[in-house]
Amino acid sequence: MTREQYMDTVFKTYRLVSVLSDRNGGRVYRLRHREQGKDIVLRSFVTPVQAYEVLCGVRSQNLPEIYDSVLLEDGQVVLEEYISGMTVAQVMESGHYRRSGAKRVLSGVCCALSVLHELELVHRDVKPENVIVTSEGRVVLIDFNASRKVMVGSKDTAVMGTVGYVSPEQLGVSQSDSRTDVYAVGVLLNVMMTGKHPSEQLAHGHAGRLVRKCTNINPGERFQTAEQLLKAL
Amino acid sequence: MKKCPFCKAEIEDNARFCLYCMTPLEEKKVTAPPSPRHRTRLVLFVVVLIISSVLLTILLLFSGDSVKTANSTTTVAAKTSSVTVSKHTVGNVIPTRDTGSTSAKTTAVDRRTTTEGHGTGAIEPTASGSSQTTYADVTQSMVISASTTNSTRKTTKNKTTENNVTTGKTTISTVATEAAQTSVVYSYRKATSADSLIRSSLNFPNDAIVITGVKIPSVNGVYVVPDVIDGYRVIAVAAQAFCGSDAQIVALPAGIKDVWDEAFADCYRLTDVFLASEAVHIAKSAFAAEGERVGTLTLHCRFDCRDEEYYYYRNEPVREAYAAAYREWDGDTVEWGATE
Repeated sequence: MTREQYMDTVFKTYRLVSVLSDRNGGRVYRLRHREQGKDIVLRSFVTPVQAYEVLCGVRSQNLPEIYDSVLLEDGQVVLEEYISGMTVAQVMESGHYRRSGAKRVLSGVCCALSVLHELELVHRDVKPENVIVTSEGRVVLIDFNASRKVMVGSKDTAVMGTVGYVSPEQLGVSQSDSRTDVYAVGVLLNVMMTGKHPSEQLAHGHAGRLVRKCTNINPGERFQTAEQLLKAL
Repeated sequence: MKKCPFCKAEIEDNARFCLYCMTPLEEKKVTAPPSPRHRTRLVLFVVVLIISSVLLTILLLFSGDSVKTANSTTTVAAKTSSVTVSKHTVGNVIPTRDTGSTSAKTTAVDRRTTTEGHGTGAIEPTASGSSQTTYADVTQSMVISASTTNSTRKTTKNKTTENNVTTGKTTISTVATEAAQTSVVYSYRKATSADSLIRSSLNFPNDAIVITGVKIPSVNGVYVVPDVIDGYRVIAVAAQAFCGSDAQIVALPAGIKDVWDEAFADCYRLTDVFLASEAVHIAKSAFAAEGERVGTLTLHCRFDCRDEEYYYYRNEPVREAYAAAYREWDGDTVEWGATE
């Protein structure tokens, strides 16, 4: 079965609400069940993303539930929980985060990353657009298109991530690991509190110290895991 | 094709989710957020303190001296079952002057070398099953006990002879579990000429390293930093090395001469730091903390002064008594703060 055939089956039961994303690697749709009225997200990829396969068997408060990952002749289709809320990027359009808010959001992100890292996955694209906060206060890290499994001895074959949030080693010859995500979280924290990248303006006090440690150019001198960062928060 | 067990619709054989009734067809592993292990460690630490204080009280009752001290060596035994590092009574710890030669014998031996240059804090036991490191001038029984909560400073002198080493000071008793200390992995880097510019009077030997962080943390918040890691001498704790960590008790060996900026910043659980060196340069921001500490932070040092209790308040500078209480490595003496 091809992706088009699978989509035809899906559209018999769901109607398209909106196209959330349309990138080279694939498309992301928001669909609504015609009878139940419940929304889901459908991701369609040309190149399969292994992370979704791994996340199929896991449920976490801070990650969207991956209902199914279907490998097809010409790619992969993923059915995912639709998270209703605002992204951190959208929230920041009306101002910077206060310390308490940033701490709450970052705690959720660190919890999500802990789960991923435990599954030997690296997110590699932590940024304000990929963190959603629901009206109930649930913090969810989404979009695993750039994720990959950590394999000892291998190197990243492609540069993934978003400018500004990519750690130095992602641009070099070494492999991304949990510390790569820690770097991005440090940048995220700084952006949330100041609106700027740490290289432009560093947050003050405790937050600034955390950012500096997260974004140390040497991965060995950063927080080694999201859990360590969570404790420091 | 198979039938959904709930709505009976026909679905793919390997489907994990029924598109029609939107029901998951497989059980998923539910992951909880990281557990607050630091709370468990805190409880354990408090229990150890209580037990130690009861033992000390019994000891004091039966010893018969007005000033009680006890001697023991600092041992990091290979196979022990409990951590007995405990806090001494506030205001009750007096360092003594060095009355004799002090041999700080550290037999730390690194165990592991990784490609990243990380080393363990493992201490190799001596033939007798323990190693000795003299850490500080403190009364050995660092126990909070109800009968000794006075604020009077007492001078204590004692000599101990342990394994033919005579010291003019008491030493702390640190018995760490094998799991607690051998599992700690520190990050480090070689000391460079750029470092020596910060401390221009300091000449770094070729085999010197600075601790830059903790790769695998201690399970109980106790860090007994060894003198040597992977064959390199540890001479400093670099900036932010332990920043934000869950360290509760830290013992730094005699070889450490520098504790750099924010090295222990935001360590809210940190209550005791033992400095074995006679001269340590400590950056003023080394123990900065914005939030509230769990308890009082006490630095136990071999400096030429009494122990002080150092309080760190939110957004306030380091207390002046501490700010004046470190000695420059190049020998300049700083005026001490309060005098008796």
